[in-house]
Amino acid sequence: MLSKFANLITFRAIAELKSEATRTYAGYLWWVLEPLLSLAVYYVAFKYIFHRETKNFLMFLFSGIVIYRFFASTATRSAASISDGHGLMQLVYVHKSIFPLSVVMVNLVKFLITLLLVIVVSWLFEILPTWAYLALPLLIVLELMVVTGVSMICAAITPFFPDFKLILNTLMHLLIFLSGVFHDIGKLSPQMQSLIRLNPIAVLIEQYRAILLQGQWPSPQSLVPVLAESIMFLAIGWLLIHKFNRYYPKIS
Amino acid sequence: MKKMIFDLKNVGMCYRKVASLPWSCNEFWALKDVSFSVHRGETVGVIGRNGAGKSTLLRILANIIKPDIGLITRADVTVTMQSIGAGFDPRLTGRQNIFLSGLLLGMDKQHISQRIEKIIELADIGDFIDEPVKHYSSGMRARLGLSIAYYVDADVILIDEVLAVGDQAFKKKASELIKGKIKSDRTVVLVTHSMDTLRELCDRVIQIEDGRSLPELPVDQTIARYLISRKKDNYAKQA
Repeated sequence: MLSKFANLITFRAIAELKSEATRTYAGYLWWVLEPLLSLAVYYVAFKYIFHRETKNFLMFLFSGIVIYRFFASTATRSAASISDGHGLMQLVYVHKSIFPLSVVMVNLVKFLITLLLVIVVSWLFEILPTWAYLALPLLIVLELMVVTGVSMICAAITPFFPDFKLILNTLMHLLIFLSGVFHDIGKLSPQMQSLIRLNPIAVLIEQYRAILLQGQWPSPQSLVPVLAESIMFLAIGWLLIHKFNRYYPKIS
Repeated sequence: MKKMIFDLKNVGMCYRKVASLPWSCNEFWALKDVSFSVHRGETVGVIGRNGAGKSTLLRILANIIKPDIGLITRADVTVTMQSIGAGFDPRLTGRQNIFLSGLLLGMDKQHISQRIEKIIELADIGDFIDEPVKHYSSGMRARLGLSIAYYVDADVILIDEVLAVGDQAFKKKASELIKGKIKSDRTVVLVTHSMDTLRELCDRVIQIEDGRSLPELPVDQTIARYLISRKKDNYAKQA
């Protein structure tokens, strides 16, 4: 039963990845081009218009963008996933969590590829690998848990409240500034810091950067709240979808 | 007494409009009061005019939706709705879609791998099997869908008008396959508009009008009652 569920999600994800690539000329290349283009936009804006002078600002920005994108684009696309699956769910019984979960899987693959790109590019800037890299899988799993939980919550809400999809877009614009993508949150005032650290993505970005840019091990005490939050998101998301599992097909 | 598969008592179900809260009331009652039961090995036909709630009834039997009122008891059996081309992704090849659709219809991966050659043979669409499904004609799409559905194993099969898709040749092939499957002692619930199919295949017929099941009569009498109600309708329209 569980293997059927996993197979279905995996197969849907592979199908989506394959068919997404056939939709454009550049195909698979877009998985890398998209984050690079947004890096270019933000880099020009912050370097030449706002004259930001952070050390290694390019890598600082690139890592932030890639880590944030995984979160934001998965949540936004998941939000529509159950509504988009409306036709299919009239024909076959599937647990409705497969809709957001296959989005998560698609974006996880893209994220891992772009994260690898971040690492390789950082070597070009002479930020060399350290033993701290060994902690990366831990952060990836933690982020995956946060992303999955939030995505399931978003997917569960939208069928009842379609306007949520649009609100979420704005929310994600706001959150990019509250996640330390452009700023080092460690340099903010203590009150502001404690507020921003409630955002698990801000903490994760900071810890990824510690590993990738400074070669430091992540700090366990800052990751414990992230773990707690991720478990809470997962539980809420799963319970919501499970509760309305046989209700969603009735919304027409 | 044969084993009970489904037992419905005064079942009703309503659809909600988008942008409504779970406890709000802007709803449409597709089924109001349906009672009947299905026993193992029976082939039960469902008739009724368009919009009577037949498809909704199949969705309830398939456990896709839960009724809002009434009681449904189901035996511990696997149920599949023969949805032709369920979950096809037009950008993927026929072969890939066999896996995608098969998984959605409840087959597991090995089951599909073991049967894929037979499915392709039955679909009989030649080299198109490795082309994206968007390049298929609607007939080819239907053939592939039917072949997949044919190889799904389930204790109970729900069929919604599949006998009437595609061209004449396909219809003939489809109805032969479906008839073969129905006669093989499975439990089948079949929604159809064809009185010939009903007479030939069904042990019992349930008539649904405006979301309510009518008292059950033998097959011939139910068909007569249905035809009369349709005639009355036509007279009413003309008048």
